[in-house]
Amino acid sequence: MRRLKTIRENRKTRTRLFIFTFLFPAFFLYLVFFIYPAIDAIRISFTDWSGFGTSASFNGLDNYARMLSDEVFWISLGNSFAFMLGGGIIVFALALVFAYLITNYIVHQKFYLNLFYFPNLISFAALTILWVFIFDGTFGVLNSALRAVGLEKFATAWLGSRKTGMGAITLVGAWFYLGFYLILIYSAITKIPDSLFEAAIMDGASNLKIFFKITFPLIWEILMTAVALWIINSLKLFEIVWGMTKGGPSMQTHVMGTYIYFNAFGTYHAFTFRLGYASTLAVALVIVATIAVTAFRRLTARETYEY
Amino acid sequence: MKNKSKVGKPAAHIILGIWSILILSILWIAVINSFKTSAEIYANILALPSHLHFENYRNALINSQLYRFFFNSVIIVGSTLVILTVICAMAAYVLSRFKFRGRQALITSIIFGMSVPELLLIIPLYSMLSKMNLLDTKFCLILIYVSLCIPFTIYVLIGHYNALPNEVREAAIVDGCSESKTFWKIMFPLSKPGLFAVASFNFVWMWNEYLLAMVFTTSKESRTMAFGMYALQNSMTFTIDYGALFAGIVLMIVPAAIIFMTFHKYIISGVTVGAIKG
Repeated sequence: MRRLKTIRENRKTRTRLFIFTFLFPAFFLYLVFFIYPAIDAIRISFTDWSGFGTSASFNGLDNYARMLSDEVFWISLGNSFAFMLGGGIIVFALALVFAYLITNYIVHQKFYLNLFYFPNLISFAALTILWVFIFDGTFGVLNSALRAVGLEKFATAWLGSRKTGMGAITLVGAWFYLGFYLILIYSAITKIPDSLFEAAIMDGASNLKIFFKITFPLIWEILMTAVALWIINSLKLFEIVWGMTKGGPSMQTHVMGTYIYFNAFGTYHAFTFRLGYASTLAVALVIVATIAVTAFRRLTARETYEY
Repeated sequence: MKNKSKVGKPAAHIILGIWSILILSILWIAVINSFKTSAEIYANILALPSHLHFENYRNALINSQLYRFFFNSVIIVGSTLVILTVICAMAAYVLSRFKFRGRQALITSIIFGMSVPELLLIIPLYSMLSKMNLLDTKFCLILIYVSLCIPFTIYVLIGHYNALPNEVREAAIVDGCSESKTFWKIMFPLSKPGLFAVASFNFVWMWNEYLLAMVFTTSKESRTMAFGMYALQNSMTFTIDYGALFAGIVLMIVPAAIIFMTFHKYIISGVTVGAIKG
């Protein structure tokens, strides 16, 4: 009896040891290089820290008050939401149309999916350089094209103002991200069992009718998850804007992501190191994104269809 | 959902074709300009090169040292993917198959981690790593990439391990296999499709990423390809060798295209996996 008990005890200790050793590497790194810095960022957001190597002291809510009266913060917040809404409408409208066309009319469906996703593999750094050449005021492709067809009066320095700059950034963002969301919607559609369509096809329903009456309700939930994903990803946009305008001219095209970076590290040529304030902005970004996603989820919650 | 209409099919090809042209023309501009001189590029960015200036490629690779950044990227991204996938598979397997105290808390912390943007972490991480004297090393970037990808990777892999049948594992245990041997010999190989899918998603993110690379590395010893391109763009303000810049872009596209053609099967499932993020 006693021996059986020790064997069982032994096995239990061994299982415990196994669980611990398997969890340890990942969770150790996660704790030290993720959870701890995340909490530390909140602490830093309440300090006046202004340079690595210098000391920081708490200044209460000063940074947060400063943020609310910071004109550029509101510009960047507005730009982030403009990108989220404008880019979101383009991305999801096109992704739905393309998914409809691909599933209904195309034989080699993977060809288009792969091609549309391809920009994601090239790196923003290279792509944004190309797009800057398209939108450049003096020798850009877009202006040359406009001049060639006699629409010279529309030619402008596209990245030189808030309106056209954000417009250009939104188009590039949509061009870049479309493939990703298209694949999500496409996989949702292909997961629907054929049997659900058969009855409708027998009844002679049109493709469009089938799409709106059957496909659309059935992919609703995945579609809404994809939109929530877009909200989060678009609010933390950084690379495209930094590559194209760096927030310029005169801070007019900053989005939240670039404004955080700008305050923390400055530009390539001038350093800032407003570390406390940058952390405040980063905390604000997390809060804004959480509110946006939660609100969106509340608004779109509805009955789901099981199949 | 089969095609019945006669108009539909050509119309679909035309609409999808227009978007394809939008993607390919951007790549086309990179290719033709990579063979031109700066003066030619200034004159007309859409014109074909009068003469193939292959020296642009030499300038990009050797003078701008893109070849070094390419190897840096391969080393950093490669090591990150191996370490990340292995340690996350181990943790996810345990979280999926064993009941123990604190399990739910760990899973909750992982879900929390998926909603934290990297922009929140860069400042504390920077000060931490500078105290540890690790800034500006390849190891530093590997450490950061691994750590930042952990929550998402574990979360996705828990789902994959949940979906694997338990009978195989039980049979192995009955046969006297130890828990860790069962994992390495049976469960880990069985989860290969899931591992590839999540790794391909992480790959795309890391290959593109230059925010963290820009913050945590400064010298050329540890610079990645993505950051190298960005730095090249910045240095162009002074040297104006646009031909080399375009050659650099093409050099960035080629490995991406090769990887893409090799792994395209996993990339679509990787994207689908990515929907879980956020």
